[in-house]
Amino acid sequence: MFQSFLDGLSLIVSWPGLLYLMGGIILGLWLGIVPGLGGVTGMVILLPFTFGMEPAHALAMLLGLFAVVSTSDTVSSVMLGIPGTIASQATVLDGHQMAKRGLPQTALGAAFVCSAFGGVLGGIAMALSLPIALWIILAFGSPEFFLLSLLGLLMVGAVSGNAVSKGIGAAAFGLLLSQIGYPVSSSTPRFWFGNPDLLDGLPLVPIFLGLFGIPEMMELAARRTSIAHIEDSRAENDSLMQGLREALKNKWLAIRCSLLGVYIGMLPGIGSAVVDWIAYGHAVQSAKDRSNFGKGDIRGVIAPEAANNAVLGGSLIPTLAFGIPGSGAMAILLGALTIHGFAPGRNMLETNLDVTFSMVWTIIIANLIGAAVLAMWGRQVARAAFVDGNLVVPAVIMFIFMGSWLWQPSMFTWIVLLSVGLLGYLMKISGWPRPPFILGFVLGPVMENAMSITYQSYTPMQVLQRPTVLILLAVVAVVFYFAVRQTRQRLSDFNIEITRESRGSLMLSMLMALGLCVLFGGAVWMAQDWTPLSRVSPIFIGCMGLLTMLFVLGTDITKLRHFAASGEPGAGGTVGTFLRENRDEFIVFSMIAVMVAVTPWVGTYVAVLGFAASFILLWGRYSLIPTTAYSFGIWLTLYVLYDRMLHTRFEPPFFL
Amino acid sequence: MRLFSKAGLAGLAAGALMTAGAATAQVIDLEGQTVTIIHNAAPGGSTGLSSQVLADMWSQTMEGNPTIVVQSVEGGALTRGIQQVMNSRPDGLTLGYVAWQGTTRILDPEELQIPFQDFGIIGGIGGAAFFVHADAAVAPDGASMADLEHLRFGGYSPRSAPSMQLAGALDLLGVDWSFVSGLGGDGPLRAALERGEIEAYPATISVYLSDLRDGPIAAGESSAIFHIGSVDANGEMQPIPAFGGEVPTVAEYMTEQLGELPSGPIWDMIMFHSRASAPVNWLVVAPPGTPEEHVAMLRESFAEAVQSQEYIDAATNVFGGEPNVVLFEDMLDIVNEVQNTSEELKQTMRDYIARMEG
Repeated sequence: MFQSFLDGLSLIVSWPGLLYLMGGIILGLWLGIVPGLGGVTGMVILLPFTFGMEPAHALAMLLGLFAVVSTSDTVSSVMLGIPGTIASQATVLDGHQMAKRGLPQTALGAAFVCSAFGGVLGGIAMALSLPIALWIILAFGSPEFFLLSLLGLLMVGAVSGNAVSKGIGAAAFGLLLSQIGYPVSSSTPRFWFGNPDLLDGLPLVPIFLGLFGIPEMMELAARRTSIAHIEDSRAENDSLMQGLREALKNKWLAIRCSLLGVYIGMLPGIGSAVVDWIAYGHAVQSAKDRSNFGKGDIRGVIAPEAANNAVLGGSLIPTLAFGIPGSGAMAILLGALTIHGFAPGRNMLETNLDVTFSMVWTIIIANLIGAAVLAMWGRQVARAAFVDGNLVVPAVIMFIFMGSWLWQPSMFTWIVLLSVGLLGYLMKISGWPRPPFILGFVLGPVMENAMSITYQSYTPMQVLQRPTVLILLAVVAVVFYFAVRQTRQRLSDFNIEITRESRGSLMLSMLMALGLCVLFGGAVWMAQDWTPLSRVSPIFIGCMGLLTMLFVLGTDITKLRHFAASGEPGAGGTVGTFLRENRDEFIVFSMIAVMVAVTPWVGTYVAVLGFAASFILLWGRYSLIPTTAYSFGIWLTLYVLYDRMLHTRFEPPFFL
Repeated sequence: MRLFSKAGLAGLAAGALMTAGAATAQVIDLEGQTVTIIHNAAPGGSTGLSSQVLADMWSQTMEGNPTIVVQSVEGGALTRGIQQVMNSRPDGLTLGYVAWQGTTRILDPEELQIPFQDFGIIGGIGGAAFFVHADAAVAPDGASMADLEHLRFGGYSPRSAPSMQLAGALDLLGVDWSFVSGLGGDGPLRAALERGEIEAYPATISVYLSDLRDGPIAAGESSAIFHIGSVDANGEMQPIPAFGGEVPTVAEYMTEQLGELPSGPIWDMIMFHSRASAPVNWLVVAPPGTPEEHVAMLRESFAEAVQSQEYIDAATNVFGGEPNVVLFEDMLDIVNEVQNTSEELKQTMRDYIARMEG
């Protein structure tokens, strides 16, 4: 085995293997920085070029690209408050707050170090796990998957801050939306209302980009400042080295989260979509002082960044050992293996072990080089925090919308993105935590699938006789106990959404709770006639959601009464003040909505260019020359990147 | 502003001329153009890879030797990509390589039906022959599956044709069965088999050749029961050569087990899927309204491309076995048969889906 380990290294470092690896790394770094592109896009672009290459070189380029995406996606999360990819959602919470406070370099420094560390540890763990890979995969059947998903869902408490009931409500809403489309057990689609776009459920990319990206851009535009809006130009102690010191100070957290990443990565379907939230939840749960989470706590950056880079090592194991790709990227890698004549299975762990080890080396080398390159650029990248926000917003809006379009080129995608963007903003200003919504949305199908297979394959006694089930049940019970205890003792005294509670925010929160009551009730009513396995999940989610909403309504009414009982006439403000405070954000949202609305008539080019130009000219109050130059840049990006390079099919104007 | 208006008008005029040109020209000049092949599955899977292999070869045989790029338009239970091709302009710049699932798609609600006959049909490609892979305990040492009291088998969805065929075969053998859905792809199904969650599943020939034959089947850990053969012009099932005579066809297996070839609605359903679903996984089409002579050129160049040794070698890498090439005439027959499926056969399939859903 040791010889194969060394042979794997020589496959990578021999010329021109290293060149292909470097090419992959550079492309991966760039793809991670641009919101909405990500590693899968890059692998899709590169895959056809690898058909004629040496297998080890092809795999080095593809994996090198993918390995560093979860390092560079931090840049967008920290600087813009928009997850560069789905794996860096949790970094937004504290990373972006640090950038706003003038500490972007510290956040980036810690993130790069922990990403590299997590990636390297992931690679090593993958190598060490190979002898027991088959055992691990076979030990985890559907009942275990169900319990692991449940464990992930229990993190709702940790990522809800002090708004646990609203967090549970948001998770239930995410779970309910995940039920749209064909269920695994039935040929009757659910909640599709005759719209074929809903048959496969709602697309994930617009959901996470919309939930975090659009609200952030609305606020940045309304603030009319740069991203960092502090009095002094930069916090005094902000540096990449400071980030490195913080990472070293929290090394045990980084190690724990990296290992968490490796083993969650082994679980198909869970992987990178939720690992950052689970790691973030772990950081919160294991911290003594939680008061800074959500406001720019470095541990909120270290935990998800260590975990999301470690996922790749873990996710390769089921892909290579069993041909079970847990994500889109792994499916593409599996395709590349097939094209080059490798069949996943035992021979990847025996005959072709050198190729498998070359992937381990690729992950390790790529993570180290990727983090080093980004660290060199860190100071320049951090300067983006001080660029006028008016210049940032239109470009970022273009990347968010085109990034979503790339995944599913249809107006439906933009409508989902816009709607979720509005939902995200309303949740933010009414104190509803957004992370639980994502947890519910991602884990819903995994849980339902595992539950459905368990029901069809096992008797209850068979489930309870599995030792792994009993261990996991104990873990679930312990986590649940601590989650409840923390909530009861009000230990989670931090806000995930930094919202000032007011009459307006409470009224909005109550409106949302009432709306969700109708939605949950409607879902339960609609599900009555479906087949048993199709209706169990929506009915359970609907009932739980209804109960939670009643509780939320009760607590919001109590808080409103507190304002009235305080005797101060201005306590809690007025609804009018609340609306005025958020007026600019809604104007910006309307401008984005107009862009979407006119696209079917004027086409993608004109709509996006029109939005960018009018925003710069009217909102940013720039003169005609900078507006023209800026619009030209937007056009160039649309044409070169999306049209010529990515072959995106734009929406044509009505007359073509 | 004035200049912009002129440019806009010039663009409009050019666009109108091009559109008019496409409508009247017979074989569209594709020299220097980029043709997009739209497929309707996620990027990177067998649909994406095999369409790329076709694109590489077809660009050498298509008149004008255009650049051919592949684009994934997934979603809507495979309908979004199909609709995208359906609604594309017939200007020769868009083609479809669509996973069609025709034999079960006809069971969909009216609003999801696709009028495949409206396309400019070019041909089809099949790459996934199925066989029943079972735990060794199901039929040890060639023992009959008919002796089983119950079989729990898995698949992705009750609507998948191989799962429906296996359910039908078990009924003909008099074996009680249950179906475990939600297991998509060879990897998850095999892992479920090894965990004991299922006892059998329809597997692809690709994993048979690459792993199972010389691995667990040779070691006696599992067995290959029968495979879904191809149907010849006389309506008789023939073995797929890639199985090398090691695995019987479902027709041979049934004849051996029952003493005669079965008949009746269940066997009709099995044969229907064998004729119309098994040979073709991907339908290759041009948008409706594409000039007939241009479609003829596409059919010719497609046939030349897919019959070349270079294509067969590359596609064999993707599928794990030689692709099944279906040329225009045969493809048209299949599309017509599917579109004219009898109500009785549809009801048989609906009944199976209902039973598999439990």
